[in-house]
Amino acid sequence: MTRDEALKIMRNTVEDPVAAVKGYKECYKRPVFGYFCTYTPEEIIHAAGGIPFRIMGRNESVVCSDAHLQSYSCSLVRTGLDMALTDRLDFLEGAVFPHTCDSIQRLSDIWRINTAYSFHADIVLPVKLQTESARAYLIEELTSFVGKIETYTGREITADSLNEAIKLYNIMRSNLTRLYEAKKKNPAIISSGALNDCVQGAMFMPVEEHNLLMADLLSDIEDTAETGHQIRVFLVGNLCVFNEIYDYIEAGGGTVVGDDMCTGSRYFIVNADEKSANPIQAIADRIIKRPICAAKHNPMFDRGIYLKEMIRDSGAQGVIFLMIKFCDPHSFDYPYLKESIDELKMPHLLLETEMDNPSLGQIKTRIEAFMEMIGDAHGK
Amino acid sequence: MANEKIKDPEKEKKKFQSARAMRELMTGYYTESKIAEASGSKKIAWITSGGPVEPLHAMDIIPIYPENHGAMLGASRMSVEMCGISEDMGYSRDLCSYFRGDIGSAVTKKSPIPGGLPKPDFLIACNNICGTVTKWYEILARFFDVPMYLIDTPFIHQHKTEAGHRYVRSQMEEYIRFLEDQCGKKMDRDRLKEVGQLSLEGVSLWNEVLSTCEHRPAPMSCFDAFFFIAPIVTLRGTAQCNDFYVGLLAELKRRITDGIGAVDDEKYRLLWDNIPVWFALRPLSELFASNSACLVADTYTNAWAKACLDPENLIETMSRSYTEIYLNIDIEMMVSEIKQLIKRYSADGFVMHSNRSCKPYSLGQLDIAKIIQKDLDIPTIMVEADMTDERSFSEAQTRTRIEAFIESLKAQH
Repeated sequence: MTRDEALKIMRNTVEDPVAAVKGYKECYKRPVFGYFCTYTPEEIIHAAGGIPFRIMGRNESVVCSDAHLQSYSCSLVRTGLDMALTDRLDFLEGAVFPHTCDSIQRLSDIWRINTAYSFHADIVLPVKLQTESARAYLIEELTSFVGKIETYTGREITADSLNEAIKLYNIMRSNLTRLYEAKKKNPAIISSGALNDCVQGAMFMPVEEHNLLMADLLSDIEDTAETGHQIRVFLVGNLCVFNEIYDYIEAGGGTVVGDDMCTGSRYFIVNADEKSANPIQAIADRIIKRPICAAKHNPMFDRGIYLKEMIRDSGAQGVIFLMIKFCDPHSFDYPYLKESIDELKMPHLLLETEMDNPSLGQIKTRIEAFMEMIGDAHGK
Repeated sequence: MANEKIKDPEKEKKKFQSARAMRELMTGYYTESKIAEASGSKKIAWITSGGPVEPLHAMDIIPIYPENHGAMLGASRMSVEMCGISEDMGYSRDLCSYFRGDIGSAVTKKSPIPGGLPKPDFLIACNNICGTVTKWYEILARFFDVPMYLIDTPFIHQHKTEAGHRYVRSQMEEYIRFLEDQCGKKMDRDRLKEVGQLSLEGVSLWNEVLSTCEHRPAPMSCFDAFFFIAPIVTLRGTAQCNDFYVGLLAELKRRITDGIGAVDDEKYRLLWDNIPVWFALRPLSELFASNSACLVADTYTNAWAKACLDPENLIETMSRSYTEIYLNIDIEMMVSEIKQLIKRYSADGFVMHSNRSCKPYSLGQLDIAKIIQKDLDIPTIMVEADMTDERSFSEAQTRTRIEAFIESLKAQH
């Protein structure tokens, strides 16, 4: 497959994830399990014979959620519930809710009460990650999830099947890491939007499929040369489901050279040990090792310092915070991260969006102005 | 002009004598903490409202509650100004207004307490009430450059897990070791047991205080309970706290004997849900009272009324009771507690405060309202507000809605 063909499949998948995963379900004859948040142990769902599918709304108004969720709930929660209540997720066995934040926690209850899926799982992950007691609990909680999904599918999850799943997910993660590295080195090799499609594509298709596409893509892409002269932009935040935003950045003469996003590097940044005699421990240790999301607590890990290193390393010239509104954990971290970036004397911009009402016109104007400002500062 | 001095005897009868004792108690507590800050005579810990305070008292550490301070900012109408300060620092207006008010006050030292809260030596956050406190205390730890210990209490969906319990139990021991490190001395386990006993007695007394409202007419309303809650939150585990509630309980019992109700001609008994609207206590209280409606109980003050500690088995029972609190359980379990309160207090209606500042309390209310209406056939109302940010509240609109709600109650009776 050529690079363009692979990217086309990624684009179509991200454009209409539901249609895509329905096709894969048909073709793979495997049950699909929805999930929220990148802390979900996808390897366990895979080892149970399932296809994990990340639930994220699109640019559509909610129809049924308002009867269950107040207007100050975030749009990830509102659009996700709406997809379920309007029967757009009827191909799922059910959904997995890892403990993330106050909103996902309540969404799990509301979802369970108002939908009729045959499967429902909460993985009440510890919030803190650095202690031995938290690790012991995390392993127990993951083991309990293994039991729950085994009971549902009637299929035993062995250490071998888990290690096999970890291996496949490690390939996916390594592929995305390689693509990010390649783009950082030479931003011209792939557009920012296409890079994002490759990350989000992994959340919507079977990992085997993603690994095949990426193998073709990477072999083709790394031959391309031609260095570009774009303004290097780094993204920080939670979710970005709007491909338009990447287009605005590029239209303004910019390109994305790295990120710390749930729909970006936080999804794939660390691999798990694939040869462990206790693969559940290996999955737990990956969760512990990951650079934390704002919803987790680890006093040994400073997100400000981490971000400064990531930004320096990416050679970025500007930072854009992309935030889904009403996301408490990320809003709490914003002023500190902003100050950390100020220490780098780097310009930054905060964009708040909602998945069901993104005000893209306004965002476009603000990105244009921001790119122009950086361009002027760098004499372009 | 002399006429203004003549007091209405009916109104005087309704005034709580205990109010003065409580003001003195709370003033004494804050004064002692400010003296400790200045002299360094005692360590000061900031702790979340649902946090296990008993080990702090046992180590002679003064616990300070920023949430209580947030409520004071709201009640004294200072919150909006303080919230504005934190918004200027980059904190979103969508974040918890206790947090925003408190950070604004920490930066400016403006507070109903002269000079603001005493500075912490360390921080204890327990996330059994929300994930917000985890982030809030991380920010405080950076601001004051002091250590923080997080007690992580896994949320209970459908059933408690033993794994979750073991995790919390380990953390209770870690928490005590953290305090020992901070204070450079060992925990006196006998003293801890004594504090546990005092805490148990305090919580039982608070439960008795609230239970007096089972009586018709209720001798106080939840607006009084919102005022009298301060000691059980901030001084739980001390003799002064218990002495105060012994006095309050006696006064409430006297009121029952004397036939004094919180509301004249009490006709409708209502249950309140969520944190109070601190800046609008008086108008809301008067509005309900003028319609012969008394808010006889609430889910908020009842959260401190469950006596589950066993001083002989304190670590074990602290681990369980601090995990099982109202905001750390799923919607069905909340509904079951609400139904018990409605039954116990013979409530005719349910008033829910949809609180922009508190997602764990507010998300799910729409479903809870539906279930309560369907199962118990009692009217419910949702009041849109915020616990301290007045900008998210329209008094006129709320008044109209509550009046319509009371009309519907009248129609049912």
